[in-house]
Amino acid sequence: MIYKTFRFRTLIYLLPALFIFLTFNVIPGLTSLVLSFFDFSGFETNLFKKFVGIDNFIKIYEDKYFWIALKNTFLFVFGAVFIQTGIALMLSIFIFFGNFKFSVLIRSIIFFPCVLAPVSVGLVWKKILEQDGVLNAILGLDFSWLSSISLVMWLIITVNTWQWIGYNLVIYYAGLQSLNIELLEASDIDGANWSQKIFSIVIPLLWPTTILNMILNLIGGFRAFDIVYVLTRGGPAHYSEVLASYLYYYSFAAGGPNKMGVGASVAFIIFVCILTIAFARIVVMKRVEKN
Amino acid sequence: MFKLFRNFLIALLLTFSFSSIVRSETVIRVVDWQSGVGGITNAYADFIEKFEADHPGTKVEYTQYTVTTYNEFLKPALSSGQGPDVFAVYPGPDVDEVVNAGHLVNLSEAADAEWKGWLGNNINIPELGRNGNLYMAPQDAFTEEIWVYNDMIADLGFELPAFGDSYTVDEWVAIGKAAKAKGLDGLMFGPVESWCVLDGFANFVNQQNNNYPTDVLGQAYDGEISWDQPMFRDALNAYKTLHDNGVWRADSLSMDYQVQAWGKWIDREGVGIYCNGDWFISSAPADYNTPDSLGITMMSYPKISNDSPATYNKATGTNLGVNANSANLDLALEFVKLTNSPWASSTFAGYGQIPANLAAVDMDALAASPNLLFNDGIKMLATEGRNTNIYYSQAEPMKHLYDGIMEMFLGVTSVDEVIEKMNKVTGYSG
Repeated sequence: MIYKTFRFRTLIYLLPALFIFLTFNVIPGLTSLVLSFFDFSGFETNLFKKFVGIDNFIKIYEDKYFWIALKNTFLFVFGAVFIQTGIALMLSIFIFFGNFKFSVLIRSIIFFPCVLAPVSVGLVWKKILEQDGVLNAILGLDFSWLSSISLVMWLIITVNTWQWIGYNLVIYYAGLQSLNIELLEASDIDGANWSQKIFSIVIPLLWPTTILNMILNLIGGFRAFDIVYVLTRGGPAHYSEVLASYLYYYSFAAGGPNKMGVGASVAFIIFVCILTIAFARIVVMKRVEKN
Repeated sequence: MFKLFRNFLIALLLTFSFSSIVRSETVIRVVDWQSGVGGITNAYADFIEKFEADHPGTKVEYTQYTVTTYNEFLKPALSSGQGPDVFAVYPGPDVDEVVNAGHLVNLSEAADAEWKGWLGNNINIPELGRNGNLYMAPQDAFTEEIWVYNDMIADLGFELPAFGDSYTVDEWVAIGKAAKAKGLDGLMFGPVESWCVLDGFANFVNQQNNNYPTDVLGQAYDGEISWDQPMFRDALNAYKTLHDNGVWRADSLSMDYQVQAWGKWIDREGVGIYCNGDWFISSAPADYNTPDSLGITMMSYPKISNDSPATYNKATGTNLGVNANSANLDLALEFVKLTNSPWASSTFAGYGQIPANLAAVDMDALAASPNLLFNDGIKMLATEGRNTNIYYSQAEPMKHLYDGIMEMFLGVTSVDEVIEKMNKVTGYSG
């Protein structure tokens, strides 16, 4: 009886959250999936009027900009997962063991961009990277950074890293504070040098924190949109498009193709990517816990 | 628990009843993309004031979005059946989609004789209707053009062309080089918005159109004629010449027109601004447009050669449609009718916005306007010459042409490849 009451009450308490989850996550997600098989411009009241099978998927398969967007998305994810996490790890170790007088201030300064809206960050960096911007003024150049096909994605990655590195750093710092210092003291007695202590003790001990940071950056990387949109709007000529901005272009862009069905199929591909990663995360985390 | 739930429901019901009693007025929602265009905003404030005074108990809620974000609002609103009573639609493919979805009232049937009289010849403008019916009521009109600062042109040692004439591509290259030597740009250009590229292209093609007034670009988009013809090739080459010679800066390719290019032109970083239009008369720098002196010259797109005929891009700007599912259809129609009235046209003009219904306003009075830039805008609209269609429905070929030109700017594709691609995309079979 108690068990039954508990179950009923639990259900009651869960209902609001469940309702919100179903209304704003599950139903729109499923609708979007179904929509990817329909020709829908976005204006029609009847979303599911014209079934086109897998035509939308064929369309993006044949569009070279989709492949550019896919490649850029993976590049962005690579930057977020490896470069951003790597720099955050090095910085956190440097600050933690550096015993700086103003270490709190240093951490606050590095963390500061995280609290800024990505749109503001994008606008500021756009000003910096413009042809008549701050960077060229400092370097004495007249170079168009954001219109360079080969550089534009790396610049976006740099800006993104600059903004979010503080977030990873704070997580690492918490990990470092919970490290068993006795191990380091023991290694001192054994005559280990700094690099041995960092690479053989600290970094391996921080492995669970690293995994956490990598997963957070991985998921964030796949969802990247705002920084790309503000900095380049996917340009020049779609060469800095990521999947989310490519989706937006097909669905909403002024003077764009007006094909929300195609946009939905891109959304489905993003979903599949994230789902795959979510499963991989579970497997990796289980292994980490096991070890 | 039950009592609490019951009391909550009662409170909720009472709140709803009370709010509906308080809000007894009828609300007409009007939405467009003219955020930042002072002339439109000010004119609409007057329209709303008059409309609300003429219709007691009615309130008009006017919301403006930017051009780039407008569809983020409109699409979900219309597809969910929650569309505003009156709304603007981008001319071109969007009109087809919105008309086909049954969202717009057929104004050919709904407009009375007086309204049709005000609209005059505008009724026949293709961008306003589909299938022989009128769906959109035009608000403002413009000539798409290039604006230059007179003093900067003089400083660079060039002469301004006669009114109605324009510089050639080669002249722009020379101006661009002279400007570059002084750390300036020849033209500010914002091609992130596709129309800034496609409309200029349409003008270039029309200059070379031996079958004018036949719309050859429309035929090419439909795959009826080959893209491998001098008029298309020359148009692409004109763009390539302008870009490769640095008439605009390289990082224009990641620049939008409305904010960045315009902002930099206002800051006098460039001599001219490409693909501007009369819609910005009310936003022009005040120092260069005083009743005593006009420091800005407007001209059409670059001429391919000295022999090219005068060719203009004249069109309507914001076009309003009435939601076929509006709960207040009659009032919505009344409001749109008001915006097309002679009084509304004079109001537009008073705020430096060229009204679409020029037939409904006193041209002599307009010519005496203290707004010199506005006067030139009116004059330009009345200038004799070829008129270029800039609104097309062929979304897919337009996308590919835009992408092709942008890639040509980047140097990753050639004129030949763009032409070949366009023939393929449009299905031209030869």
